Order: sequence, then C-alpha cells, then structure tokens
Amino acid sequence: MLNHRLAALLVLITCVILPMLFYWLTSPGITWVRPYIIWGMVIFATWLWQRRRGTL
Amino acid sequence: MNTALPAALAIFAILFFAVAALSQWRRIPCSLWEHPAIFALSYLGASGVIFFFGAIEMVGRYGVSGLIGLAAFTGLFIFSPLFLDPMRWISRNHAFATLPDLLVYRFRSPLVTRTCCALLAVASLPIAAAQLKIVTTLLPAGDGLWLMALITAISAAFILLYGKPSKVVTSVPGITSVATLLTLAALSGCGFLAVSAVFGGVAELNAWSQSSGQAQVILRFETAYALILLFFPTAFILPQQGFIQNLSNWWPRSTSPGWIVPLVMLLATLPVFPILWAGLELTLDAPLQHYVLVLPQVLGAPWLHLLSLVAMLFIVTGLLCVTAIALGKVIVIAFLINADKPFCNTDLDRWIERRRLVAALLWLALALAYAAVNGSSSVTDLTITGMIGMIQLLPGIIATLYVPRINYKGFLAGLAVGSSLWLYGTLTPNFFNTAPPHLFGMTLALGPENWPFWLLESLVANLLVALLVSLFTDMSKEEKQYAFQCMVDNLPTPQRQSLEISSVEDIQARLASWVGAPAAAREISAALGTLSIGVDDHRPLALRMLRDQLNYQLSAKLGTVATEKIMNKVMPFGAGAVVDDISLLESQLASEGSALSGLAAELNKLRLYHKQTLENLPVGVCSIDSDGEIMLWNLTLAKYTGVPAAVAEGGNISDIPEPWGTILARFCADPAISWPAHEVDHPSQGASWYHMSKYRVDESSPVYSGYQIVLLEDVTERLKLVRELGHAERLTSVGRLAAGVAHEIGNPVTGISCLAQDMIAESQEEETRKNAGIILNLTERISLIVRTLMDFSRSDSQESLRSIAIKEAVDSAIQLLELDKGAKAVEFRTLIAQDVVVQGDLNQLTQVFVNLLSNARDASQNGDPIDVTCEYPDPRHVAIHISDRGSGIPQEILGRVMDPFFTTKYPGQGTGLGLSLVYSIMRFHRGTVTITSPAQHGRGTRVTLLFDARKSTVGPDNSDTGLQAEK
Repeated sequence: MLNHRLAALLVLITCVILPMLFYWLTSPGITWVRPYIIWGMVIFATWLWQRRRGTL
Repeated sequence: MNTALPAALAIFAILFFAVAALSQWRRIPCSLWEHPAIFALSYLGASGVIFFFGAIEMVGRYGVSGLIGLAAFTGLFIFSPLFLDPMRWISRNHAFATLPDLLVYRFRSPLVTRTCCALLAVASLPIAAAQLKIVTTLLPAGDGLWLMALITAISAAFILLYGKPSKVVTSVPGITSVATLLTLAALSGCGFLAVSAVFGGVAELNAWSQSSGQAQVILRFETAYALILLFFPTAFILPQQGFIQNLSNWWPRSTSPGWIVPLVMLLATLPVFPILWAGLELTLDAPLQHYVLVLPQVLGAPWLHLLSLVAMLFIVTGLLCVTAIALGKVIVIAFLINADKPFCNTDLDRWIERRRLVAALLWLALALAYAAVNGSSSVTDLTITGMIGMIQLLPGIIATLYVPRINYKGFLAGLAVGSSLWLYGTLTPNFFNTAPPHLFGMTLALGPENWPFWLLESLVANLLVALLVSLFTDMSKEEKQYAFQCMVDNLPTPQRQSLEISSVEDIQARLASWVGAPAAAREISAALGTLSIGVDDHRPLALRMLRDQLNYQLSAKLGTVATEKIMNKVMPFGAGAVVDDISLLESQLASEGSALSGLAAELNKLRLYHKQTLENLPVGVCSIDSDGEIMLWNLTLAKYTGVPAAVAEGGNISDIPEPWGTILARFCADPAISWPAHEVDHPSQGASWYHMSKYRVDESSPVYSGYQIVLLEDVTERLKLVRELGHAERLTSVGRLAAGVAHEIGNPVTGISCLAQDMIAESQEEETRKNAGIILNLTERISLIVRTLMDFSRSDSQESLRSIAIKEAVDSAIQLLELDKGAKAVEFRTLIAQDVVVQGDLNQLTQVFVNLLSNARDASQNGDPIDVTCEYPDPRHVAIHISDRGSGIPQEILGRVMDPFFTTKYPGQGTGLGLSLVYSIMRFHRGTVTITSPAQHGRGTRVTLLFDARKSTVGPDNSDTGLQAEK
C-alpha cells in the first residue's frame, strides 16, 4: 500500500513548491546561497519528521 | 604538480592500507562502526569524484541545476519511505545479495539476473573510467597510463587483502569514510582559501558575483529535471551504493537517520561556487574538476594541494574497490553459480570467495582498458553516460514496488530497447564517429553532450515497451504471486506446505550432499542459533522456519535462483495443499509490523487488538488446521495444560503432553461439537472438569477451510457450586421436615415417657417395671433423635457468637468423648495454641468437634493417635485439621458423606446427621469443611475446618457453600 501522505507531499513539492522556489531562486540578489538555504531547510524538515517518527 | 604527485601517491598508499588494516583491528569499538555518521561518510565516499571534485565541473556546466542534481542524489534518503525503506525491507527479509537478485526474485527468470548483471558491469565502466581519467589528466598527455595502472594495482591489492566477505564489513567503511573526511577537509580548505585570498571576504565574493554577472549565469534550470531524474534513482542502482546499503545490514543503527547523508553532501558542495569563481577570476588554465588541486598551488598553499591530491586518490580508489567487490559478487551469482551441480566436493565459502575475487579483478582490468581507450576526459560526461545505462533498471524497480502488472517479458523487452538507445546515443559515440540520425527532420546529436535527450528517450521507450509487452503477454501464477509479495507495504504471506523431511539431522545430511559437510554443519548451526531452535525440535513449524532461515543464509551467498533450487532438493515439500502459514505470518507481523504504514498499519493495530483479546480470554482457545498442526494456543489454555504457546504452536496436536494430547486429538476427531463436562485427571493437580466445544471452518470456505477452533472452559468450580447448592437445598428441606417431625413426635413421646415413669414408680410387678424401663429408654432415644433434629433445623441468631478459643471447644469435646468408657482407646492430641481465636458459638463448635472426633475415633484402631492441629493458610483464615489414621473413606461415597441420614454405621449406632450438622454449623460460622481421604500414604482421613480469622465477619453467608470433598 502506497504511503499516500508522502506521495501527496511529493506531488505538492513537484507542482507547487518547486516552481515557487525556482521563482525565488531567479529573483535578483545574492543567488548562490539560496539553493543551500533551501537544501538546509529540507534537511531540517527531514530531521524533524524522522524524529517524530521515532527513527532517530 | 608533477613534483607533488609522487609524494601524494606515497602518502596515499601508506595511509590507505593503514586505514584498511586499522579497520580490521578488533579493538575498535562496535559502537563506532555502527554510528550513523560512519554509514553516511562511507556511502558518499564510495560515490565517486563527481560529487566532490567533479562538482565544480557540474556547477560550471549546469549552474544551479548541477547542484540540484547532486542534492537529488541524497534525496533518496529524504524520501526514504517511498523507495529506500521498502527496498531495504525486502532485501533484508530475503537476504538479496544484489539488485539483480531482487529483480530475479520479482520476475522469476534467471535471464533477468544475467541481463541486469551485464548491464551493471558495462555501465559501471564509464564511471570507473571517470575516476581514473581525473587522475590521468594531472600528467602530461601520454604519461597517464602508468598512473591509471598504478591506481588499478592498488585497488587490486586492496581487494586481494581485504575483499573477503569476513573483512569487507569493516575495511570498506574504513577507507570510504576516511576518503570522505579527507575530501571534506580539502574542499573546505580550498573554499576558505578562495574566499579569503582571491576575493578578500564573503561580501566581496557576493559583490564580484553581481558585478561579473555570474550570479545570473548560474541560474540555469534547463537540465534540472533531467539531472533529478538521473541522480535520484541511481543512488540505489549504482552497484557500489547498493553494496554499502547491503553492508548496512551489519549496522543496525546506521541507516535510520536519513538526514545525515544529505547534510554531508551539503557540506561538501558548499565551497563549490567560491572555488569555481576564484578559478574564473584567476583564469586558471585547468579543467574545472582540477580547480581544487590547482587553486592551492597557484595561491601558494602546497599542503592544501597535497591534501587535495591524497583525498582525490582516496575517493578514486574507494569507488574502484567497492564497485569491483560489488560486481564480483553479482557476476559470480549471475554467471558462475550452477544450482544443478553440487558443491559437495569443495569448500563452498572458499569457492565463492575465490571466484568473486577473480571476477572483481577482471572487471578492474576491463575498467583500466576502457579508460585507456576512451577519448573523453570529462568526469561529468563519463559519469552521466554510466548513470544513463544504469537507470534502465528503474522501470524494473518501479514495477517491483508499485506495478505488479509488469512481467519479466515486458521488463526484459523494455530493458533491451532502453539499453540499445543508451548504447547508440551516449556510449558508443565515445569510441566511434557515427553520423547523427535524423528524425522528423531533426538532427539528433549523438554523445554525452546531448545526454538529456537520450536519457528521456531511452527511459520513456523502456517504460512504454515494458508496459505494452506486459499488457499483451501473460504472467505465470508464480510470477503474479511474487509480484504482489514485493509490493510496498504488502507483507508476503508465507505459504505452508508439509515437508517431506522431519528431522534436523536429515536436513543436514541432505544439505551436505549439495554444499559439502563442513558448509552444511556451519549453515545448520548458524540457522539453529538464530532461530533458537534445538536439534531435536521436530515441530513442523520449526522445520519450516529452519528451511526459511537456510534459504535466507544461502541466498546471500548463492543468490535467489540457485538457493531456491537447492532448497527444493534438500527440503522438498510434500504433496499436501499449499495454504497460508498463519504461524509464520504472525511471527513476521510481530517483528516487522512497526515498519508498516497507512492502511496496513491500521489493520495491524486491529490484528494486535484481536490477538490480545484472544490471548487474554478467560477461556482456553486453540486453533488446529486440517493436518492437526496447532496454529493458536492462548494463555488460558497454556495455564490449563501447563504447555506454553511457544512449545504447542507449530507442533502437532498429538505431540502435546498427556493427558491433553489424547483428549484434544479425540475431541477433534469426534463428530460431536461439544463435550459438556469432560473430566481430565491431572497427575499432579487432581481431577478437573472442562466444557469443550469446537467450531469447524466450513470446507467450502475459501479461507482456512478444515481448521478447527477448540474452546475449553474450566467448569470445575461451577460443578462444585452446583453440587453444593443441591446439597444445601436438600439440607434446607430436611431441616424443615425435621422441625415439623420433631414437633409432632416430641409431644406424644413426652407423654409416653411420663407414663412409663409412672408405671415404673407405681407398678409392683417386676416384669411391668422392666418393660416400662425399656419403654423409657426407647423414648429417651427418640428424644435424642428429636433433639438432634431440632438442633439441625435451628436457626441461631448472631447474638450467640463471641470470640472463643478453638482449643477450649476442642478440649470440651475431648472431655465429653472420654466419658464413654466403652469406646476405643485412642489418643487425642491437641496441637492448637491457646491464642487461636475465632468468632463463634462455643456450644455449637463443641458439637462440631464431638461429631468429627467421634467419627475419627470410630474409624481408628485402639492406640491410634488422632491429631487436632492448626495452621494459617493466609492472613485472613485459620484452618483446623482433624486427622486420623483409619482406613479412610471409600472414593465412591466421599461425595455423599455430608448428606443427611447418610451413614455407614449399623442401625442404632448412628443417625447419619452428624456431618450434616457439622456442615450446617460451619456454614453458619462462614466456614468451610473439607474432607481429604486418603490423607497420607493411602490411609486416614483429614477433615479441615476453615474459619474466617477476621473478628468482625460473622453470620450466615449464602454465597459460601462451605462444602468440599477431596480425593
């Protein structure tokens, strides 16, 4: 059985969040650190999520 | 650069083998190896130079897309529940040695293993070449071959020294984690140098990126999706990554935190932009992947240059070693293991080990040859070329986890089409100059430059062909079954079929004929140890579990296909029908249930609830299948029978220790659906009565037909209660009758007695006075009976109860009995302390002891002792025992001795009301009477009076019937 919540999250990320992020990434300013900020936030979210699941 | 290279090579070689040797050092604590950070470092250390030194080239070419691609490589850990966890779960459950092994398990065709193995071996060549090429370009053109050969030789030496299965567990994590640490240090140092020495600070770097336009140049996303598509799945498909994942089976804690691998990758790529821009600012004359080496040299940091060189050599050699070892395993399983040819004349482990080493070394030689003839020197091009080849296995993995409809024909057809496009579009153009094809008027560029097109084309064609061929071809029943078993969240339902073999010794003997006696002994011993099963355990379930465990152990060495064939010959199944193995399914759910999610997890919760309910029912429950094998044995039944569930479940019903084995087997075979009160005679606990009933699952039922569910209820107490109530009712009736009779008889008898006394006093005739005396004696006897009846039926009030010493009542009774000089000369021994006090009526209790001691005396021989003792069975009660050494009470009348008017004495010697009276009085005192006969050594009787020791509780209690008779 598919983990529906995670699949829905993946769809949300692909269709909504990624385009928004691309827009933010391409806006003027200091651009090179932005991918790292997003990447760090994803890692932090994973840490939080896995801690809640008890896999830490 | 040329001067630093020999020193770097020397330092690298010494450090590399020192780390490998130290990793084997047994004194390094296990907790260090099991730490999740070691897994993360090791995982990335085996992934190759593209993720570290090649990252500069990736970002230089594709901008932020390159960074996204590198991040996607670790995305597998972030979204681990979707792909990684199910793959790990399936791999661990079945001990799949490699990815092809998983696919052959799913698609049930040996051709799948060989095709996948060949694809992995060929697609790994460009990736290996990328590692060798990055070092080669350090030297002038034409001088690089010796360096490639040297690195290959060092890799080969490591494989020969530390590539054995027993050593690889620690040596590979050792070198790969050190490789990552060194590389992180080199990249961080280089990044710091770039920011501080070239730009003068972070603010200046930012200002430079704006002014030079690089801040906008890097914002390129045209290849982002293609890079995500390529890097995300290859994290599991790459043989070296799969190998590290497999090693993680030895590291139970290592794979749980999915955030460490992405974090290490983030740290590794953080200095990428500063290094790239510093190189551009300084207009370095070197390939982008060499910026980390050249920048420190240009900026006058020779130690950092040396560190970067050593780190690069570590990463390069790490990938070559791990890939060669991983592919050696795959090649041996796919091409060299022949399950039809027994290994009995060889040492199996040694045989496999040697061939794996030879296969690994051959692949290394092939990689060296590929690197030597390949024209491209770009790390990115070579790695991406290899990855596109490997990603052709992605449809197979998706089918395994999510699409059970795809069959092996579809998978192989799709793989053939996708691989052909990959070979034509990206691999062969490195060697041959082929004219670009034209399609719909477009010219399709060949080679790695056009890789996004060939990636999408090959993958889409692969998937479409797989789907179409699967739709139009049939799947075998076996393939369907395994396809559903491999699905995400779908626990494989273990199948149960009776085995032809019935002992561990036989299994070992048969296994020895296939894998040799030493290997068979090793495997059986390991399996028994893992399962905690004894050699003498012949339970069908135990043997089935042993079969599965042996299957698991051998799969890791021989692969799924060969192991299945061998196990089918060693432990063949009988002719019986295949049914779901509930016991194994239950144990699997118990151990793996926490890994379930979604609806499966909810259903598992429901299962736990029902199981708990069944286990704790106050009724014994067991489930027996059509072969007589016990599937369920709940706690209550374990308590009734004294046989724990661990012993009973999985065994045959007739193997249960007596008397239960026979009883349950007879009951299951009996057409009757219930036995109302079946007596079970325990050797230790005495007789008990059980209400047995059963439900037979209908033969037409599609699920578990022929199963019987047997329920057992202990009705011993209930039966005793019913008997007590009957007895009490009889006593009540007799009491009422007695009161009426006593009243009616009492008055005439008093008149007769008076007249008889008058006759004695007034008559002069001797004969008359003598007859009157007889009449008087008889009336006195009638009066005694009437008085006894009155006593029996009397309802005393609580006012007569007070604290009395039991000893006082006993002593009074003994004094009264000793007045009868004609009775037997027995010895009354009172062993009761003066302070044993109960609430009661002294006269009534004296009457109780008179009756009981009188009975004991009648049953004893002259000179026998009669003991009156006392004990406290618990703080709330006091027990008085009257024990004689007489002949005892026959078992057939033991249950009736308390009935009114029941006596074994001759007419005129007893009324049959003595024990009934004792019972009645004890009931009034809230006490119980228990008669045990024979008391000891087959003789004697012991009457136990149990009083409530609490002073406040007195008075009749209808709920306590008070009568017990024991054998």
